[in-house]
Amino acid sequence: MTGAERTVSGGGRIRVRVRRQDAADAPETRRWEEFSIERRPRMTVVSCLRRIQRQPVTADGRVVAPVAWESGCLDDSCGACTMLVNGRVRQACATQVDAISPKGEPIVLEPLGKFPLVRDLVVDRARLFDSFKRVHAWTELDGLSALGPGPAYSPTRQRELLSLGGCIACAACLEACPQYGNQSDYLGAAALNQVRLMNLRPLGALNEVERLETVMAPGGVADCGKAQVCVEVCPANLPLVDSIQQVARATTRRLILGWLLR
Amino acid sequence: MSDDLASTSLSSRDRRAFVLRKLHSLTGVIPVGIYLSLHIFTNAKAMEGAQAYDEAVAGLARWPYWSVVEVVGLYLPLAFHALYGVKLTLEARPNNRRYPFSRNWMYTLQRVTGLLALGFIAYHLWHLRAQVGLGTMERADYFPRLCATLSSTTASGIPVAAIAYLIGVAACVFHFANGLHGFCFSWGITVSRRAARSTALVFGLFGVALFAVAASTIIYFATGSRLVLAPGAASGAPPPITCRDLTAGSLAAVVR
Amino acid sequence: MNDRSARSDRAKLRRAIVVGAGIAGLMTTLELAEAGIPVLLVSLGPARRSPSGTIQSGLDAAVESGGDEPRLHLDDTLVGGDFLAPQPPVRSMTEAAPRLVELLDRMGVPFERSPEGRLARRRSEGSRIARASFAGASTGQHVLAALDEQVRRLEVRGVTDEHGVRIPGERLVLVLEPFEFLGVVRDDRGACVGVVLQDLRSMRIKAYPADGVCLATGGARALFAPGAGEPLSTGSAAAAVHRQGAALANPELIEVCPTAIVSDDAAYLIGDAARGEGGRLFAPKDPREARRPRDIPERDRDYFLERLYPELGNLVPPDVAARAVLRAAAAGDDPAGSALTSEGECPVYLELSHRPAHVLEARLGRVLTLGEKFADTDPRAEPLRVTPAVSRTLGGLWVDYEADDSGRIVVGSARNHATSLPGLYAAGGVAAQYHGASALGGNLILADLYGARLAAASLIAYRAGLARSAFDSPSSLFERAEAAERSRYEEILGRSSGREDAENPFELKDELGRALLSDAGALRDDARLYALLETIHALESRLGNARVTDTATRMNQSAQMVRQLGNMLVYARALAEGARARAECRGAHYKSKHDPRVTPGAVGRDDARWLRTTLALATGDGEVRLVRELDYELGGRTIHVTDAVDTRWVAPRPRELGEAERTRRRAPEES
Ligand SMILES: Cc1cc2nc3c(=O)[nH]c(=O)nc-3n(C[C@H](O)[C@H](O)[C@H](O)COP(=O)(O)OP(=O)(O)OC[C@H]3O[C@@H](n4cnc5c(N)ncnc54)[C@H](O)[C@@H]3O)c2cc1C
Ligand code: HEM
Ligand code: HEM
Ligand code: SF4
Ligand code: F3S
Ligand code: FES
Repeated sequence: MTGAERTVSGGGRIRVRVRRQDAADAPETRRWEEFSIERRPRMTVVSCLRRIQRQPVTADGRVVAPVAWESGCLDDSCGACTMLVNGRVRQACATQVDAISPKGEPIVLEPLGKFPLVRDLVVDRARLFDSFKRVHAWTELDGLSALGPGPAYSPTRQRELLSLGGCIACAACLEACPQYGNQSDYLGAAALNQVRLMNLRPLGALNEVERLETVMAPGGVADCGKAQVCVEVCPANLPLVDSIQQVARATTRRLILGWLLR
Repeated sequence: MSDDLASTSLSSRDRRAFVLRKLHSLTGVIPVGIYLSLHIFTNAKAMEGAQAYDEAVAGLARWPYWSVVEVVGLYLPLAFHALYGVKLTLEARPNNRRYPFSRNWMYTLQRVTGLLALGFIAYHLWHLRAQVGLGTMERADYFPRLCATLSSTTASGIPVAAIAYLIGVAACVFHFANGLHGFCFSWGITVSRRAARSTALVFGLFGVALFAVAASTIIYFATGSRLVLAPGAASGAPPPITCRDLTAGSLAAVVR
Repeated sequence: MNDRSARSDRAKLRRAIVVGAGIAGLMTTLELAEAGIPVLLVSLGPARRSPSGTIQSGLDAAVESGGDEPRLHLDDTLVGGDFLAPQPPVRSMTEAAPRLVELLDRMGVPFERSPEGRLARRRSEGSRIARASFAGASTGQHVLAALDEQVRRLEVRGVTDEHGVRIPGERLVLVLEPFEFLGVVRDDRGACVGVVLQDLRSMRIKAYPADGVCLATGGARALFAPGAGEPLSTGSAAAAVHRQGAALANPELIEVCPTAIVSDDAAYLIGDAARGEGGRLFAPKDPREARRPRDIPERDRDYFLERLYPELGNLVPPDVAARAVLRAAAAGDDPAGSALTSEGECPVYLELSHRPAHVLEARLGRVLTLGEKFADTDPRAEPLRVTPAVSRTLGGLWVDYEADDSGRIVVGSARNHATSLPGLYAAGGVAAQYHGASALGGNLILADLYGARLAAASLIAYRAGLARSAFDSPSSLFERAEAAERSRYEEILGRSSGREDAENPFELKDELGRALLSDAGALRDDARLYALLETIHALESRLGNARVTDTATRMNQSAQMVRQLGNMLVYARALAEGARARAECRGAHYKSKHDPRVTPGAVGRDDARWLRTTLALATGDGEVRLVRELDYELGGRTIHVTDAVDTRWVAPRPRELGEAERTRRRAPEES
């Protein structure tokens, strides 16, 4: 690395290494490509990727296809741009270059490893949404007509619902969980958090039992290994570990009492 | 709900995996964990001398149907916990290099210590209990046998057996203490991260204490010196012997 | 086939198609499904990622209490939009608002609570009364999630035919994602009988028949830089159907958010929630202020909105606030302010630090996060530097409505939300209807929901009146449409053989974004708009020379960009032409030439000549034609519409927002 590349924010260049592959069924196209990008203040990883789109030329001068990646809001609220940045799962749009490469260290971008690859940095996170289906993550409604407001509930409950409802479906908690992956059908923290959220809603609670049954099935809450990485990586700062324990408590109660009641 | 897809997921009574997992968790504490704690205190009696030790060890064995209790109440749960634990360990995908958070290390260590515990217990049972079962040894021989084994060293003076015991015991105790934290977590006894952290502290201290007792027992067997006073071992103890200048053989003789 | 049949004569399941899975698209889907109509929901990505999820504002709904009533909500909305919105739909929307909020409440949106556990409310921009229900500063996210949940519930629900018999293997809602809408399929009479879609993973292009199509593809914010990288808000779908004959309404209108954190290549919008919660905008009185913002004492701060607009204060409509910020940033003198592109000399700050931290955390969590993550500022402790940024396009596809003699919308008329292509409906940010010339924060989600509801009812009526199902149309129709899109795509891919002077499509899009921002942003003038039309023309010919370096067959985002850019240029031209034509100041459309404060004798808002909708039609050659009236076919009838704005409820009046006499701030030379 040259001296110029070492300068901190606002000058010099930054090296971005990207793990690429043209398609899931084209493993022979798996490769690394390195780009050298002009460094600008307040740059994010998404800025880097956009620069690559506009100038798809590798550091050694080859013209290549722009890197494919997913994005949406660009302000850390839609969950689209999740990828591995220097090995760790992050939202690319909210990852400041200055924070991860203060001295001009190269940045390494890879797709999430636990989901089927589509192309380059794009993966298919359908399994996350399927898990929401599995746990019945919705409120049963009698329809859309004017049936008046829902039941009243306390401001304290509202705070709780508000914070639990902040999931942006990015799947970071799944990617980083050592229990999650192809080897198991563990639902993962996001879906368990949904269970707690739905059961806390006054109307959602009407289906509490069914929902608990879904997490007492294979891949349910008991598969959590308490690694607690999920809560560290969640970009929405959800109290995932609390949620898992709350759901665990509810299933314990059901395991013991449900037995007697049945 | 009237539709099939949702109702299969909802009314699923397929609880086998869940129940097994709960059983695994439970057996780790009751009986295996409880046995481990009691066992460590029983063995600490060694520091009061061979006789006290023999009494303590034989105490349980005098119970009627002890062997039945042993099998049903300990070996089976232990075997289940161990085998299911191996399955769980195989399903884990540790990622500590990427995510080096302390709880994630505990996760991996829980599995590693589980495997170590499995190895240790297998060796330990073969070394002591199985020999009695096979009739090659008497219960009363436990004390001398342990002294001999634990104080033995390799040609270059490394007390392999004692070290192996220390590691094995450390693994078991860590696994148990951390497992108690996990137990509170997975049964929902603690329901917040903060509460779980407090239990981790309490169980951590408990584990350290347990390990201190077990380690001093091992060191006592190995060297004859007492680092931690065993319960009731305050009086009449032989003068402390420093391990530095003792050979394995002379140590065994002295202790006897 | 009768109108209730679930299946066509050829025994195909008669799905309706909804394109776009934002708040509007999801609500349309729910309404259709509730009526038993199976839906194919198409979107560029999972619903959860849609742009309407970033809306921070709550939903205004006037319940009859505390002196509020829908009439006042109507009035605020009309004043906010500078009277350009047709009044019957707005009236009906304000009347329906309380029911919609209650529905969301039942769905589980965690609205702020009163001590008694009911809905609590706060003030939104442009309103004097606190009538917004809100979920922190992320109402959009929670509403989107709640609707998404409901749609997911229908994704596992089966379909029954008119006899109540289950149709095996079918689900009420089928989701296609990530798929891109390329255009509609029209039959020989011009009716829309389906859509052409491209699977963005395999890049396969296929036509899908539909008995009724509703576009809910959102606005075209990505036309403007920065933040123009937003792949979901290109307006490409709207432009595609515009090219196929659908009229655009008011394409020139945009919304400018007064408070954004703007960085090199992104704009992070801060909605009116922050000001509704007590946030104050100020500029240092001395433009050369050297102290850190938190150290500037109150007496040296100019709370310019409170000074200029004592009544609404910081909650004036967004366009008014945005221009005031630009003026303040230009340090006093130039009432036109600086262009949006450059940060003014004088920083403007949003102050929240006077509010207790726990309140901010509970109600403005999202704003705190934005400040911390993207401006290195903790708004709890320090004022946040803000700059205006384009937040959306306000115009879009022209949609019709039918009002009865009493001036209310006829729910269930097939005309509501009909575009000028029969069978094609539009709702949400892609359609122009409720906001007029400036959109109030509290009406964003509301208009999406209400419009969706109405569009669905309309589509159901349209579908019931169909003589023949699209599923029984000759397959050659679909094959032809498919083939056309395929060859267009092949042509784009074929450009990969590189010439030296080839252009990069992403670069071109960026240039377009910067041109639109500087020439058609918050402050417009005709010379710049002419220049913009030139730029668009130049970009169009350069696009013909665009090179796709990507030859892969999966997720080819470059080829996608080339195609979208073609559409965006069409939209941009309509925007520029409309802006050039509209010779007045109205809402967010501002030309200093017509501002009486700048040009003595100018009329400002010119109701006599410009209280009308800009109607834009595409000519075959990519040009745009502005018209005063148009005819369209619906259910065998020809319907004639004009650009007149129905103002039967509230007579247009000047937008008196209580602006105090314009006192100039201490200008540098006077000090
Ligand atoms: C960051 C941000 C902040 C905003 N803040 C404000 C504000 O302060 N004030 C304001 O007035 N407005 C604001 N807006 C605009 C506002 O979000 C929209 O105007 C609006 O609510 C649109 O909602 P919608 O449901 O119609 O569509 P959207 O939520 O925009 O959803 C569009 C949907 O259509 C799909 N789609 C788009 N094109 C295609 C295609 N070709 N094929 C298939 N699917 C397609 C997308 O995948 C998406 O699901 C903001 C927008 C953003 C991005
Ligand atoms: C401090 C070190 C230890 C010493 C000195 C020791 C000693 C002994 C002795 C003497 C026995 C045979 C007595 C009996 O049958 O009750 C025994 C049995 C056993 N030990 Fe240990 N032990 C130690 C640590 C451990 C640890 C850490 C475990 C792990 C769980 C363990 C598990 C067992 C088991 C399962 C048996 C068989 C019990 C039975 O048959 O009832 N021991 N040990
Ligand atoms: C010394 C004897 C042992 C004791 C006292 C013991 C105790 C425990 C306890 C209390 C738990 C916590 C249960 C929970 O997480 O809910 C646990 C978990 C576990 N045990 Fe053991 N165990 C022992 C031996 C073993 C062995 C031999 C293995 C096999 C390798 C093993 C593997 C595991 C695993 C993998 C877990 C983790 C479960 C999880 O966190 O999800 N254990 N153990
Ligand atoms: S819980 Fe957090 S990490 Fe997991 S998907 Fe939701 S936002 Fe992402
Ligand atoms: S990381 Fe995984 S193991 Fe449990 S606590 Fe979180 S889900
Ligand atoms: S693009 Fe939406 S979270 Fe990054």
